[in-house]
Amino acid sequence: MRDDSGTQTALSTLFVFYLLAFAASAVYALFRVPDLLPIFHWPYIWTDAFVRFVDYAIPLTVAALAASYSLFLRRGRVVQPFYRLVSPQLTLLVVLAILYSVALLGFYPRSSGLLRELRVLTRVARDFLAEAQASVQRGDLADGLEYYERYLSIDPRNQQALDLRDELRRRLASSASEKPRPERQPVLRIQDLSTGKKPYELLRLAQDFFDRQDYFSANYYATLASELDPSRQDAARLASRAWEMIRSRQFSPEQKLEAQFYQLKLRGYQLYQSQDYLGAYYHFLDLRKRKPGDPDVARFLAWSRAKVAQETFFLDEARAADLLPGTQDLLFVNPREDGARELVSIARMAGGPEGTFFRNIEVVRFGGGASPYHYLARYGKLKSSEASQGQPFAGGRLDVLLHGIDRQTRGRDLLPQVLEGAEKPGSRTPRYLLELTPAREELEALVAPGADSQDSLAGVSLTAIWEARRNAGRYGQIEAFLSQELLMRLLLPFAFLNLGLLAMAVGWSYRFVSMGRRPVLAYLFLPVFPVAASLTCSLYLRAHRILLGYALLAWQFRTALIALAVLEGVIMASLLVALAGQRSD
Amino acid sequence: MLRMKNALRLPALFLLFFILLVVLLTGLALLELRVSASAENPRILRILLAGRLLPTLREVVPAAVLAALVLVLFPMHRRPGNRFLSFLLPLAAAFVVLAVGWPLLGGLAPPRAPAPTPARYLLPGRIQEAAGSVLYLQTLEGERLRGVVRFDRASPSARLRYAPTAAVELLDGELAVRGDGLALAAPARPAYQPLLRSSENLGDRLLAGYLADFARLNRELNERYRVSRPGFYFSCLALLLSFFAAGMFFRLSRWPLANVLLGLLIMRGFLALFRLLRDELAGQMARLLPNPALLDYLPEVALLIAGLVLLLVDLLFFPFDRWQREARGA
Repeated sequence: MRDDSGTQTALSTLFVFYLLAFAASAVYALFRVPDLLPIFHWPYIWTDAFVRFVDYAIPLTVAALAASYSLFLRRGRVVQPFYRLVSPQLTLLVVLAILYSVALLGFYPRSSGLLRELRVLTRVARDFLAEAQASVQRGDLADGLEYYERYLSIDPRNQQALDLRDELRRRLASSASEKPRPERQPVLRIQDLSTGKKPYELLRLAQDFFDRQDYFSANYYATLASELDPSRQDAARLASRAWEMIRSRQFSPEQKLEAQFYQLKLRGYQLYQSQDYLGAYYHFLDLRKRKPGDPDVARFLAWSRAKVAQETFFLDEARAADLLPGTQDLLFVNPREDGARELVSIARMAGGPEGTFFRNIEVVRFGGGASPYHYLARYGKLKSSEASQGQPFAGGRLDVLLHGIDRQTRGRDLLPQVLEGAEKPGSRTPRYLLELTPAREELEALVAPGADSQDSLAGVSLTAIWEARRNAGRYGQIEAFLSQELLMRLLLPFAFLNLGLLAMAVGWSYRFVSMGRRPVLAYLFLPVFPVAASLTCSLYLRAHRILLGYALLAWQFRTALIALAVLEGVIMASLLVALAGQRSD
Repeated sequence: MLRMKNALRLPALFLLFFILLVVLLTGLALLELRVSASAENPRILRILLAGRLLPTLREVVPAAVLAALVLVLFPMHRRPGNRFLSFLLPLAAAFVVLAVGWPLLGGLAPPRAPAPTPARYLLPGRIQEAAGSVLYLQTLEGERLRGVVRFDRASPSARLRYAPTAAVELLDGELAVRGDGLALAAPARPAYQPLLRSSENLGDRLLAGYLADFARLNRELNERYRVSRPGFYFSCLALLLSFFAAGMFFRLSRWPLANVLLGLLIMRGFLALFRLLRDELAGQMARLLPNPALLDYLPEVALLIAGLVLLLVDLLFFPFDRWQREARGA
């Protein structure tokens, strides 16, 4: 039976090649799966199969097209002219190249990142398990329970861990001396009406509250107005009046408890006004436990929490971010204005609904005339990530909060540990803060070089590499490496097209001579095609790697980009000419 | 007459392919060197490139000769000429180029390559892989480093280590960095070498295998030439004959593309066989034979026999103009 279009043949061949390749990738991944938590095995296998499939997509397509043209569209089988045969298949090739680009530039970085994440999460989970066992052995059941909970949030189906956790819960419940830790309270989002307001607006607000006999709020807004515009005597007067009303509030002898609670509120308010927001936060937290429905307590708790979030972060949120997808092993120079050098290493960065968190932030600062210092913070939080919650963030600088606090208990703070040098990291800026120059988008691409650096960059999006490339030198990165990664990624869709065209031309030129029957033996030779195509692709890409490397070092990125576009255009034009020159039977 | 003409143009085509391949391979090899050593002092870099031109030319000649010989097979089978001359002329041209050109290039003394400086391996102000670790250095002055920070990914606690000063030493291809609390040493790799690092996929591994086998072949030819001229000519002949005779596979079946791939596979096999016989089998057999010197030419003899067998099979069983006939027949 004669095949008139040829497109169906090419499509069928491609489909079979892709299907077999994906199956082979999955089988390969099945046997090569690293030591992971059982729950991650299948996600790892499918993701690894996809990554490997994309890695080999070009040789596979080249092999399939060459086989399709040389074996299935054999001499004596195709009746139509070559140009008519090839036109729809060029369209097919372009469509495939677009699909490949989407997979390569869209899904591939995420999938590569996921493979690393699954390995890291396994390690983190096993650390939690070890910590849990160590805590139980020490007799610290509450800590043990917390670590088991954290382990189970990664591996919720581990029956053994579930049993141990349940046993710990029972033991804690039956123990009179130890109480289980309180559940996390829902975060109250009470709007601070002062945001973005001008002094006269704040004063009007304060007057409204005063009229409604809400003297705490009246004093708060009037004080703010007075601080913003010290010339406004009316604001200072209103603040004084409100404060007087607060202080002079009288309670009957029957209202003794209420009077005590009022005094405590007053104490909390004073803490807040004196800018001891952390003290105010814990104070109002205690008050809320005493009287959950009090609106003043709820409001000042929310406000003090918002203020606390400007200087500290909650450790439970940071630990929860350990379980979110993220970027590993960031290493960069953090440019300083005072001439000093600051080298920053961050073991992990992960973004989630509560913001962007960092683990194991290590900073070495030297030069600029100051004595060197070196510190390590177990966790940190990007302050600018609060911008999405209504706090405007000015400028391009990122602030990383290094002071972690417990949500419920005072005194369980986590502060940076100074490893070398006398200077405390917080002494140069108010509180524990690390000022970062790179933008959030740039950070992802500032990974440490090393044995698996290619893997690391493979998990970085094209946009992040593009952003980081422009300032790479400032951050101590070798710009040419990032530029080349960018150019090689841009090259791959063109390589897909060009090598596909080459396969079509070569396949047609050296096609099978029909014997009138099915060439069964020839099918046995098909596995050689992907191997040969793989070698051809490697040669093509290696030559490009050398040329691009030279162009980047000898000239600059823009010239290299133009040179790449011209080169690919010339190759494509030559191959189209070669294809057009093919003769029909 | 046409058949004679077709045969006569083959050596010219061989030379054309050879020259193009030499230019391409030498250009790429020198560009590779230029990229990896880009951090070197520009004056030294120029001398280095000039000094490497002749050795690189010499290194690419065997690969270019063999590849050009394979490329000649395509026009030879598309427009077959006189069978005897078509086989003899390109083979003779290849032999002359390899057996005469290669020693000639070796006879020219290239400018002495300057000693590398630490600048080739260490970039100030950049985070890089060096001395088997990840390093940042503020400045590099001669052999003195200032503001050195080492990053140790595997460290369970602090991963950064700072040394205000350190000394760098280059000795026997090894780069050593020693400073306050730092003692690193590893084979010296140019700072821009990672630009040329390829992935670990199948194609790259195959390519690395090819390059390694050609490097091995170069060393082998060099050794042969040094020890005995006739031995060197014999090696060249065996190699060229086996490769060219493997062109027989280009006409093996009715599927030309598969034939070509099979032929290339066989040629790749010859290179591997050469290495295998020289490195492993010859050593093992030497222990069994009374006169191990007989095994010196084992790889060449094996290749020559393989080439002759293929040649005989070709003459006896495969029509020379099979491609043409089948194209007409279809």
